Amino acid sequence: MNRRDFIRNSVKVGAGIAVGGSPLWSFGKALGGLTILYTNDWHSRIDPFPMDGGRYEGLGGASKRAALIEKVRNDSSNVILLDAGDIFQGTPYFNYFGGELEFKLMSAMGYDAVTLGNHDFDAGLDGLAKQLVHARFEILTANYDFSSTILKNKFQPSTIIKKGPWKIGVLGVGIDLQNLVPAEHFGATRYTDPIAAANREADHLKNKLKCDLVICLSHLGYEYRSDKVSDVHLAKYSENIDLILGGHTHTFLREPVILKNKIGKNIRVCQTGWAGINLGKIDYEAHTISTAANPHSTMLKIC
Amino acid sequence: MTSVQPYRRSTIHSNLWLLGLALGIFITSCKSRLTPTYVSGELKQFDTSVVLHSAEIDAIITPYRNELELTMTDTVGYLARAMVKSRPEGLLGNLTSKMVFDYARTIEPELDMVVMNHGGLRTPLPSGVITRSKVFELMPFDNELAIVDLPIERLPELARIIAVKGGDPIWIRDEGYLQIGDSSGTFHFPLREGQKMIRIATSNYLSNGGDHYTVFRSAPEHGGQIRLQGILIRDIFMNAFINDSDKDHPLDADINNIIRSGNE
Repeated sequence: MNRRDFIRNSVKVGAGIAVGGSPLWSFGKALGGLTILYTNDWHSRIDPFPMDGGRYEGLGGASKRAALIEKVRNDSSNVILLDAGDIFQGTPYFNYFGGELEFKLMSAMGYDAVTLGNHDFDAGLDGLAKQLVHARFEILTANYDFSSTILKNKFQPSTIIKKGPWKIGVLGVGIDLQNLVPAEHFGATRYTDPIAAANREADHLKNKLKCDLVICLSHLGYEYRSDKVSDVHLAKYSENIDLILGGHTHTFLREPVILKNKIGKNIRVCQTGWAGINLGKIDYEAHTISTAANPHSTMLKIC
Repeated sequence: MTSVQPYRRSTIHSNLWLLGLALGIFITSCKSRLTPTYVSGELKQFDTSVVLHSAEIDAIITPYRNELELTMTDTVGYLARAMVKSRPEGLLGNLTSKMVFDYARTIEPELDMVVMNHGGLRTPLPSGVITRSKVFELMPFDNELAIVDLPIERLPELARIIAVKGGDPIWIRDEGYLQIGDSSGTFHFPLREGQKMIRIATSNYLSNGGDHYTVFRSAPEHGGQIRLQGILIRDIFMNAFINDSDKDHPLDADINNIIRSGNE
């Protein structure tokens, strides 16, 4: 919902109050905002790009990112930190240490949740399992079935993060591993339809668990020339997701792309490029609408 | 009358109690829910003019960095100019596929071509000094060299795969080239007399069908074969820099029109 939609909706709700006249309805009370910080595809880029004349020289680096995250946390009340996968692979840090340092750093930075990218399988299921001891954050995947692997029961499809007045549902989906990851690296992992899985989890989070906001961490890729499933597809066929934080295609989206979901509501898709060059930042404001849990409250649909 | 009064008081009291109960149920049935209002979204690029770092994070990284610096900061070679990958053809793809071609031809003199994949080249290269670390960043995967003997009738399928992707790093002997359209392509190079197999150097990732190169994986089903060579692609790159370049003779590459777009 953009600001204009919100104002339009507030007018509708206001009219409803006038007609219904219930003193129990309150509207427009400003609450603490929510800041979402996010990364994707940082690919073991622990150090900034070297000053060697390259396109990205001096950019990125885990230490700088951590300081920036800390600065945002000091300036804002409710901050969550997420990543959309491909944490591993790309510099000798991964070749030598197998992802141990990446997970330790993300834990120290206070990441809340991540999803898995295809390169997070590059050390095989054993390699990934070995590093889980260093991960003090949730790893979310709704469409990979690990039940016949050593990673059985290690991950959840979604989680709820509570920050101040906010109840935020976060889920994760990943790309088809066939022909992308060597078969011996993903073993008996079973890929299932990411759109069906995302919709199932989002419905649960939004409608059953009453989350205020539902975020999908996606490693499907932003968009393809072919009809391969992507974040654009996911957005169009979703119903209860508010925000997609994507990865895989290393797409630099300077600001979120607004698309319409299958019921015509706005959904935003974001991606920060790659290598930890950027830190995505999205701000939400909150208002309350007290909603009576009875079937007469048609205004619930407006929320 | 007197008997009625208490009854009426009781009824009023009871009604008030029921009203309060109903109101309480109604109030407790109200669930406060937030309406998220999007305010802004942006990418925050790290400002290199500001010294920004986290002492906590630096302390975690330092022992790992120190261990890597024992070997990774070595200079392994030199490059004449900065190179990036691009499609259908780019400097970085031509540099690296030629490196693989030159090496593979020493073990397979009748090599016809090299096929690598765009996605496998993971970072641009700068001009000047190339460190060991930079070669790892370019090719972080532990992919091995594979030689595929592909039956000649499967060549159009290989061309199709490359065409659909909009090009991949390749090298073809005798200044051969690949003409591609949207979803088909044709290789142009002179065949040897009676040649029935096309000998291709690639990585074991592609020969296993990775990045949609199923044509390689299925080669044995069509009478071809796949032979792993036991050397990492990364080491081929590393050795090319070490053996074939120095400060006065940096490696270089050109756009050679190896892949030509458009209808023939």
